[in-house]
Amino acid sequence: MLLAWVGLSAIGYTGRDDIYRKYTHDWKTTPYFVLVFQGIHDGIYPWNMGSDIFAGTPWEDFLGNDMPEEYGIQAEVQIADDSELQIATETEQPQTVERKEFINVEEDYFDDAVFIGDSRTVGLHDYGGLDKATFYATVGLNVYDMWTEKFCEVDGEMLTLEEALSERQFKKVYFQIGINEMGRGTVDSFMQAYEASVKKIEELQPDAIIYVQGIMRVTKEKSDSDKIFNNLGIQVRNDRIALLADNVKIFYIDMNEAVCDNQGNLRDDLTFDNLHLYASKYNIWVDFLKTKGIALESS
Amino acid sequence: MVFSSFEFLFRFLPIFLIIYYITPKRFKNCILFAGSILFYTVGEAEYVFLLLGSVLVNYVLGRVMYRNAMEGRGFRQRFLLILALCYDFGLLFFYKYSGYADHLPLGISFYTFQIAAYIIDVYRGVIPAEHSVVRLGTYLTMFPQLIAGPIINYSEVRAALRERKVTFDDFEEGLKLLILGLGAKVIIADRIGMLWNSIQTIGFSSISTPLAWMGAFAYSIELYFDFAGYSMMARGLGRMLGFEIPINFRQPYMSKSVSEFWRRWHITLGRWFREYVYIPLGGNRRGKVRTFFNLTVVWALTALWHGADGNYLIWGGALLVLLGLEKLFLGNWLSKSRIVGHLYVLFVVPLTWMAFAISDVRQLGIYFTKLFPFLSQTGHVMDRFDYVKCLSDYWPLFVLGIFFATPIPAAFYKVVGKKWIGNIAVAVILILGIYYLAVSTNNPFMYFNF
Repeated sequence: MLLAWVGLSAIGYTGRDDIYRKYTHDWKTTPYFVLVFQGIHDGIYPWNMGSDIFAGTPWEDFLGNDMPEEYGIQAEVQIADDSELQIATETEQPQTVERKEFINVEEDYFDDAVFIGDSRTVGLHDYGGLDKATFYATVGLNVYDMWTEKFCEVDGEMLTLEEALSERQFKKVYFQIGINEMGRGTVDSFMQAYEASVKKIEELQPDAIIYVQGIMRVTKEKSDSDKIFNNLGIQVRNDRIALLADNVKIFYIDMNEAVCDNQGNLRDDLTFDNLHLYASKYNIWVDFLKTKGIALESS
Repeated sequence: MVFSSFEFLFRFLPIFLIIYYITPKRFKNCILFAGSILFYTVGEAEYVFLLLGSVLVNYVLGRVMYRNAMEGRGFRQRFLLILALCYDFGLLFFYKYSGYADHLPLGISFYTFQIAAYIIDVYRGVIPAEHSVVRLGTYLTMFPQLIAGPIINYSEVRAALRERKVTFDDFEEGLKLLILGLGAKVIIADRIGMLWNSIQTIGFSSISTPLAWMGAFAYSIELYFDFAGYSMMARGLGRMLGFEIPINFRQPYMSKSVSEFWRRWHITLGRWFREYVYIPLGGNRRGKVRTFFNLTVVWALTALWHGADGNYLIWGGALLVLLGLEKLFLGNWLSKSRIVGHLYVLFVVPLTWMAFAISDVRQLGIYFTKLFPFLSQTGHVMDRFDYVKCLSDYWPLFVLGIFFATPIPAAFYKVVGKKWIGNIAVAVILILGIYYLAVSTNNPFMYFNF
C-alpha cells in the first residue's frame, strides 16, 4: 500500500506539467496520485509519459497551468443586447455576399440535420421528438476532447466525430458545446478550440450551414452560488461565439431567448438541477429552432 | 470536510493521527478536542461557537446539578434539567424551524441529541457529571461522529475518555472499517444516486412506471449505503483513536417487518427515542391506547427531527400507520411466513423513502401516480422505454447494492477478514474507492457531468 502510494504519487508529481497538465490540481487539498487515477479515467496512462498526447490539437499551448477564470458571484450578469451585437457583426460583413434571414420551418427541416453537443443535446435527442435528425452527442462532451472521443454511433459502431462526419453529408449542423469545460482553460483557449472545431466541421461538411448555438444558461440559484458555472461566464463565451457568425454559412442562434426570464436566468420552472431542461420542456427548444430556419438554394 | 474527500483522508487524517499518536496520554483528549474543533471549523466556521456553547452550558449545568453524591433528585435538579433541555432543544428548534438561517448548523441535530442524553443521564444518576470540560468536549465534538452520528451515549465512552489504548490490531481493524465504509459510499451510493438524480432531471411527470420503481429502489440503495457507509467510517475512525463507537445499521433491508426495519436502521437514533421518550412515557406497559399514543409522539418527533417540511410528516405518518397495523395484527400475520415479510418490507420501505426524498408534496403525488398508474394518470410519458437504457446502465450497481445489503459479505468478511484474501479485498475496495473519488473530484458537481 505504502509502496503504491509513493509510486503513484511520484508518477502524478512528475506528470503534473506533462500528461496531467489539463487537470487543475491543488496540492494543499488533494494528493498527487489523484492525477494518475483521473488520467486512467480519460485513457491517459502513466506509460504515456513523455509522449506528447496533446500534439496535433491546435489549442495544446493552452492546456498549461492556466487556472480557469472565476467570475464574482455577486457580479451583475450583463446580458448583451442581441440586436446590437447583430448589427455589430453585420456591419463587418463584406457587402458583396447576401446575408440570409431566418424563416419559420416545419419539423421536416431537421431531417437532414446533425446535432453535435453535450448532455443538453442528448436531452434534445431523448425528449425533443426529432426522430429523423442525427445526433452526435454525449454526456460530458467538451470542446477539447470532442475530436478524440469515440462517441458517435453510426450503424451500431462507435466512431470519432471526424469519422462520423466523413461518412455522411448533412445540410445543417447544429452545434452547442461549452459548459463542461468552463472549469478548464481560459475563454481564449476555449474559443481557439471552438473556432478550430467549427472550421473542421466546415471542412468535413462543405455543403452544410452551421448553427453555432449559444450555451444554455443556468438558473439564478446556480448562477449566484457558483464561481465558475454562472451566467456571466456563459455570456462571455456566448458573446465570443456569436462573433463567429457570418450569416451566410455560419449562424448564431441563442435558445436562451426562449428559456430564460427577463433577467437572463434559466427559468426555474423548467429545470430540476438548474442546468438541464425537464424532459417535457424540450419542445420549447424545438419550437425555438423552428423559428430559425434558413432557406437553402438547393431545397 | 466530508470523510469521503481527499482533503480529509490524505491531508487532515494522517497529520492528525501522527500528532495524536506521538502525544503523551495525558494530552490526547486535548489534541482530539482541538483536532475536532479544527475539523468543524474547516466545515463551518460560523457555528463553531454554538458547538462550544453547547459543551460549556451543559458542562456547567451538569456540574451544579448535584452538590454532593448524597443529594437526592428534587425540584432544583428538575429545574436545572429543564433549563439545559430548553437551551439544547431551543437552539435546535430555532435553527430548524425559524427559517432564520438558510441551512442548519453542521451536525446540530446529532450533537444536540448526544448532549441531551448526557444531561438526562446525569439527572437520572446513571452517570456522575463529568469533572473535566476537556473530556466532555472531547466526547461531544469527537470528529468521527460529530457531523452525522452515530449518536453515542456518554456512558459508552466514559471509560475510554479516561483511559484508552490503541493496539496495532485496533488500528488495522479501524483502517479496514474506514475503507469499507468509503467503498460503500463512493462505489455504490454515490454512483447509484446518479440514477435518482437523472430521474429528477427528467421530471417525474415524464417518466414511465418501471423507471419510477427503479428510482425508488435506487434511492433506497443510495440512502442505505451512504448512511451506513458513513457510520462504518465513523466506527473505523473511532477504533483508530481508541473508542468503540456503536453499530448504527444491521442489514436493515433483511427485516421481515417495518418495526424490525427500524430496529436495524439508524439504531442509535431509535435507541435514543426509546430511552428518552418512549419508555419515560410508559412504553407499551400502559395498555394499547397509551402505547399508540406513545408511538405517535415518538414518530412525530422522529419526523420533525428529520425536517420541517410537510413531506416528513407524511413520511412519519405513513410509518406510524404501518407500525400500528403491525402491532395490531399484521405483525403476527407476517411472522407466520418466511417470505411474505421480506417482500412486504422491500415493497413498503422504498415507498416510505419516496416520501422522505421528495420534499415537494405535489411532486410526491405525481411520483405516486407514476408508481401506481391505475390511481390516476398525470403527465405524459416522454419515452416509454426509458427504463431499458437505465437498466442497462445501472444493473451492475443494483446487483452490487442488493448483494451488499445481505448478510453474506459481512459473514464472509468475518471469516477471511484477517487472512490475506480479506486484505486483498480491502485493498481492491480502497483502490476502486479512490478511483471513483478521483474521477468525481475534477467534477465540481456531486453527481454528474452535463
